[in-house]
Amino acid sequence: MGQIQLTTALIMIGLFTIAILGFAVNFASDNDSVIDISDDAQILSLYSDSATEVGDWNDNSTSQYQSIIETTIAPDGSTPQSAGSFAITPINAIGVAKNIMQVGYIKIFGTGSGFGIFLSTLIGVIGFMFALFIYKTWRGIPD
Amino acid sequence: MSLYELPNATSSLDNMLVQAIAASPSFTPLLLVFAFFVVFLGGSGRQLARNGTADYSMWSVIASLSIFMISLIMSTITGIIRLDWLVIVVVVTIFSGVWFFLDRKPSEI
Repeated sequence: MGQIQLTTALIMIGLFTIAILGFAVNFASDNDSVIDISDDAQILSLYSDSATEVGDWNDNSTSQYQSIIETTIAPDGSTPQSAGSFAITPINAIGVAKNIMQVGYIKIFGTGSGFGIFLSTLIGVIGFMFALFIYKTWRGIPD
Repeated sequence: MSLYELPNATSSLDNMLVQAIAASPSFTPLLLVFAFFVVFLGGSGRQLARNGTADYSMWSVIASLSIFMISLIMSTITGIIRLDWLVIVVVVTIFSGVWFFLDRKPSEI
């Protein structure tokens, strides 16, 4: 799984979450459901937070696009001195996935469980993968 | 003396369901678990038999979406599903999506 695929996967996770929650909220509203998913504050908050994170990522990707296409590599073949071109995806993409995992984890396992190491480790792995992919892409080392 | 109280069948079918769930609250979650595994094991099992390999994460998403739709329909009537169960179904659906999107091969972006 390369950087492009990982970023796409994380953003798709965000879009999938927004679609599922949006459908559930609007289904309850349209049908006057007695059990309304929007009565759960955390789920409603996850819905709006995911939309915000994906929106922020969209804004960042648009503004960074120009810098990416303007990136030049010197004739002697040296690599760029800054990894700024790769700053486009990770923060918001990780933010989306982290938020979704966190709320989902709390809903199933609760807040006081000792199983919390699972979530923090998983998020740590995602962050580590991102950093490694950026470094390897920057240095031109095959994945 | 009857072994169990028969539900009142003169009102409506959904009322029978509500009465059955009032008598046995675990009916709803077990029904959803049953529906999930019918789709998940049935789909992945047949795909495995036909192709020699199965896309488990995809079948997990399909099974989750199935129980998600069933839960939403259940949520329109009082007494069939509780909010916490609906939330768990939504979370399971989202986690299936997480598994699905992180499980793709490089050729399946």
